[in-house]
Amino acid sequence: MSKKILRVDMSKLKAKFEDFPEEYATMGGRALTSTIVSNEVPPTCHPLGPNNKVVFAPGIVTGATAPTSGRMSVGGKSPLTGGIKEANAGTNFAQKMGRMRIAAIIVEGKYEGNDYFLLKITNDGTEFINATKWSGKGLYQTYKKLFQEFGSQVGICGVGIAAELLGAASGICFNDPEGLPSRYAGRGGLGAVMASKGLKFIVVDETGASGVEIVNKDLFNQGSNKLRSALLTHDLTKPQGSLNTYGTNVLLNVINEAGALPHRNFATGQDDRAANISGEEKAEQIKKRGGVRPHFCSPGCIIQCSEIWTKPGGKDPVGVLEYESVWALGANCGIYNLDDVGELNRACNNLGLDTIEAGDTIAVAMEGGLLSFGDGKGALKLMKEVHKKTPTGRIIANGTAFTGQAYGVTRIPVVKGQGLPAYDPRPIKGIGVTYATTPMGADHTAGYAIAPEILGVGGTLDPRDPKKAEVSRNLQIATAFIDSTGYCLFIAFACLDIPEGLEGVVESVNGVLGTKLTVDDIATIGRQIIDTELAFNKAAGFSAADDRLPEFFEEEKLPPHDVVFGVSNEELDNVF
Amino acid sequence: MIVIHLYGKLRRYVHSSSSCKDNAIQVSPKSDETLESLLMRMEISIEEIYTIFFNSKLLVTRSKTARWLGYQQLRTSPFDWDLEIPVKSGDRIGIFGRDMAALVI
Repeated sequence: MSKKILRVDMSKLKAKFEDFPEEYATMGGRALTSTIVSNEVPPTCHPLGPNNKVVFAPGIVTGATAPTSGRMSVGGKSPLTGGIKEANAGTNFAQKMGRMRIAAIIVEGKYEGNDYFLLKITNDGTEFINATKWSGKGLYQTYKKLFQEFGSQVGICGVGIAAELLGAASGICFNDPEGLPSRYAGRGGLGAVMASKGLKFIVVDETGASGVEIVNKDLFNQGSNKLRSALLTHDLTKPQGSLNTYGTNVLLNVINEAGALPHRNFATGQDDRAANISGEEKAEQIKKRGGVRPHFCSPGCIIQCSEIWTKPGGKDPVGVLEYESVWALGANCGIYNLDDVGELNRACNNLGLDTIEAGDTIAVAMEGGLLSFGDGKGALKLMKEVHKKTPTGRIIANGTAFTGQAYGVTRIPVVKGQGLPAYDPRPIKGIGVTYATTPMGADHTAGYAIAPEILGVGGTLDPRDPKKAEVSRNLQIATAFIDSTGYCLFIAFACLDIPEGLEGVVESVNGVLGTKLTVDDIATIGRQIIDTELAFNKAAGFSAADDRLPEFFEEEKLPPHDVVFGVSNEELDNVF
Repeated sequence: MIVIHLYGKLRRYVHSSSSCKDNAIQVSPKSDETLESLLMRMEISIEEIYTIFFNSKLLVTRSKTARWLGYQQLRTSPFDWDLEIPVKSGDRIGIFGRDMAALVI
């Protein structure tokens, strides 16, 4: 049995399997979601109307035995940015889809009634189940019940209360291996797109699945082993390496020391209270509390940067506290208490909110006087407003820009409407260029992957050379490729230092597809993906004026470096 | 005084270190003190170090990602481990061990 596409028409509550088109044969992950969205979604459609679609696609190697490759891409037109969106997550849901040979699920149309539905997908077919009873309920309770109902072997994808509000800050939630609702394709409000169609959950049961079709198993195994070897030896990715020991939050003290960790809505780049919410402190607390660290987001991951954070005594597991989440809900809000950050992260998971967007939103609300910086308990009350679907909650659920406008704030850290992640672009200009120019809106993951010199496309960045366009462009291109393979972006660190790692990536992809790609082809493939996304955005009405950082990054010097962004518009326009 | 912030496993060089507080040592500089001599005095091996920030600017790192991130840097190359750099009272030095091998995630 070859790969197929599952097309779900929510207007008629019908789902049918279609042949996987030849033109998509070498695509997976982001390449597939962005191409389908580009081909099937009118760029000027309302993101929450019947003409938008939400597309799920596991990566090319996802579901096979390749290491650290359990990634799921989700695409659509974003209600947050108004442009094309790809958000991705690591989850066994993606691996199950891969093994069921479902290359993509395309959800289209819109249910006209007030009910919500659960779509169950098995090897024998599909079934719509009324899920209205779960409306208004938190995802921790709901996922627990769903696993009881459908069995522990299934994978679950769903949206929460924030998406029911059609909030542009709502993400799409996947289960972690313990069944917690903690793995998010968070960015861009795709949760609202899914909810707008009346679809609340997708449950996949892979019983009887054929497994991933691998055309050349020897080549696949050779490539997988090369990458595995690289991951097992690199300081950042190896067992007991940095990510394994501290998780992604290993970075919090690093970026703070670099004077680039945004505190209190991007007011300063350094505050020594950051140590209270650091990766080191979190790892210590998890050990004391009886949480889990290290932990994998999906089986087969070597890096295992995930974890299970709990309340004291090992109670009430939250799931992972990522660097971006700890920054957004912590330092960016002036909150330096890890328990408060953990409870805010729990609230986001429970409501189906993107943690980055939620943190930026709370910080802007603090700047607007709705509550004070550092008020962790007040921030939790704001989350309760979302839960109760109050007018204030509806504002918060719509993200940073919307909240800033509602409360008269002028310092709103967004690009294309999407909140900035955890690197201030003033002292780290290379990331700032990517924030400004990626088709996704401000996104740190859009532009770091395989170093340009390894791809042979040039562009080593001299910090005293202001020309950063070429570097950002090439990094975004390489990232688009990795996002399509199903490999986690974190493999890039090992591939950067160990060339055999990148060879392994390409060989394993060739093994699955039966292609003869080389490392040199990465740039071409990545460029095609980016061009597809840029064309969609242009047709949706985007122009060069949208590729800019907010003006306060040019006007306010960030302590301690006292620098502004300072990259010219001409340079930004040269990226694409 | 020079303030040296130590992170990860290097916290063991701080008396009564803790993961939940800023672990810093204050050191009075000797005449003609350099970063290298300071590290030798503290008995911190360069081999243990992954990244050093000098007054919050990236001085050295073993991470090749530094080439394209565009951090504020003290010198053109962050891969030059010549640490014969004068240090003076008021300087802030941040040192990360090999267990914290990251500049971007």
